[in-house]
Amino acid sequence: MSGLIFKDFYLNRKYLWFFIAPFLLIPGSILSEVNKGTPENSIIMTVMLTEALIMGFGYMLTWEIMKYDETKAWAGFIISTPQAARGQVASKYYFCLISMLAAFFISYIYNVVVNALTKLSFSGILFESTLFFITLLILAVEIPFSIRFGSVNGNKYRAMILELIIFAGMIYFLFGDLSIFGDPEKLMNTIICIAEGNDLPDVFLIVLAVFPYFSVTMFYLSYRLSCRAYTKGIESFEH
Amino acid sequence: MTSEKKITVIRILIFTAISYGIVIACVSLFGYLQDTISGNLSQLAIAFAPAIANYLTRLITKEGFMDPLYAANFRGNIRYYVIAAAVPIIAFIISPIIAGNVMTDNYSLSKALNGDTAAEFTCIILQIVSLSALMFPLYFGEEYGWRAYLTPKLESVMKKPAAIIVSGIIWGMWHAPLVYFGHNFGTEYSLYPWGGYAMMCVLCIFMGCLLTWLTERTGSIYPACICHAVHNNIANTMSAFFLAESMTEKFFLAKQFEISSILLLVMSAFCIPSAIMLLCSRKKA
Repeated sequence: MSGLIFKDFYLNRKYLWFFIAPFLLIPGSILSEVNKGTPENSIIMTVMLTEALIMGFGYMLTWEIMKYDETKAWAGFIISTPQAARGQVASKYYFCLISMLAAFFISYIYNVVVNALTKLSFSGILFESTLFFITLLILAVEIPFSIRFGSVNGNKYRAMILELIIFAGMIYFLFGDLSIFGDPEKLMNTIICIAEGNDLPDVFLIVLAVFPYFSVTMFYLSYRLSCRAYTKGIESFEH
Repeated sequence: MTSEKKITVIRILIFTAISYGIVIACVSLFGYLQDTISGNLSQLAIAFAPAIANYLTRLITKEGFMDPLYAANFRGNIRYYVIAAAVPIIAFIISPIIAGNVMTDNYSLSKALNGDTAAEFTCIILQIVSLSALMFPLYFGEEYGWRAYLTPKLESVMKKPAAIIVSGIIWGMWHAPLVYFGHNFGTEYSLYPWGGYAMMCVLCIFMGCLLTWLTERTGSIYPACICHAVHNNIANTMSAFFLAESMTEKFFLAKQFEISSILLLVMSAFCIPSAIMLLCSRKKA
């Protein structure tokens, strides 16, 4: 199993530098902003966006997990090993989990470094963990498609899901209540309060507490579904 | 002493020297719990010191890096992951209530809860567990040193109970800077700092039993990491939750050593069943 996971990291190694880039570039830029006297809320928003970016990089690392394995010879070999199709599918899920955990941990360290640099007391751990579990849920929906229909078709489904989300957003912006965008300062404060978990309504607290468990359960169910879908997916491989 | 045992003892000494050396170097260079970039990064380095010591010892003594404890081994072991999260939660729900009753004359649980509903309380616990599970890499740094390297090495040169006690003392004294700077017990108590060191060693011996038992039963280091993470994250939250209403901050700071000792002794008591099971499993073998 560890060999299969290592293979995935080796094949996707060109994307690993994404993890290092934010470490090198962004703390310096924030320090320069502080020296200019940027308001605290703006710095926190920059930190949150950067953390979202880092989690995004972790997610991007999982985009091509099936691309290198889509040959019938390899699939035939892997299902003939003791680990069989289940091991191959599990390695993909472990790869995604490790990538996202690495992204979470990097954004946590980034938060620590920025707090020390800027003397802020912003704790983004709730924000980072929520992003982590949202990404886990997205992956739980996406991976079975990639495994069943191949990376090209899987990416089409991924694009369809993204388009649906964007479409829903557009509908909201056309017909929804936009009053919260009227006062950018108030909006910024609300976002920061939510990210830190301060003054949240009870319903929101319950959702935030239960969501990680829902997300992990979906991820596991997705793995079970993918195990079933893998052998069918092999038939659609071209080579 | 056979040559193999001698080599193991040398490995233990090198490992201990490196893990203590990193802590001493970081604390003397950057201070402890300092809110500076070097202070924060040195805390991270300290958290990973035992894992770094594990790798460096293997490298120096040419032991090799094969280690089966890397695997998560979820299959058939989910109950141990649940136990790893549940034991500190239960211990730190009960221990502040005991501490409140012992330290104050008119402790009232309903007053302590201050109108918070069971749903809110459950949400807090669920959040702590999910965050702790995510934060396990921080605790991997410690567990990969103490549980995956030191304890098995000590077990190969002495009997299991002695190995657990020695590893607990080494682990407890490794926390000395934390105790010295008052992170756990404050600095305003008559036995400062030696009483704090002793209390930390007692906790580490008993916690060591639980964590070693989890590691041995699952063949994986991760349940121990999760247990350690939940323990560290839940202690302060639950103490604040149950004690904030019944004692003032001034009283808490004045009696911090006594209150923390009660919390840690209750946690230690929760580790006793695992200690018995650990010793029984040795007898069977």
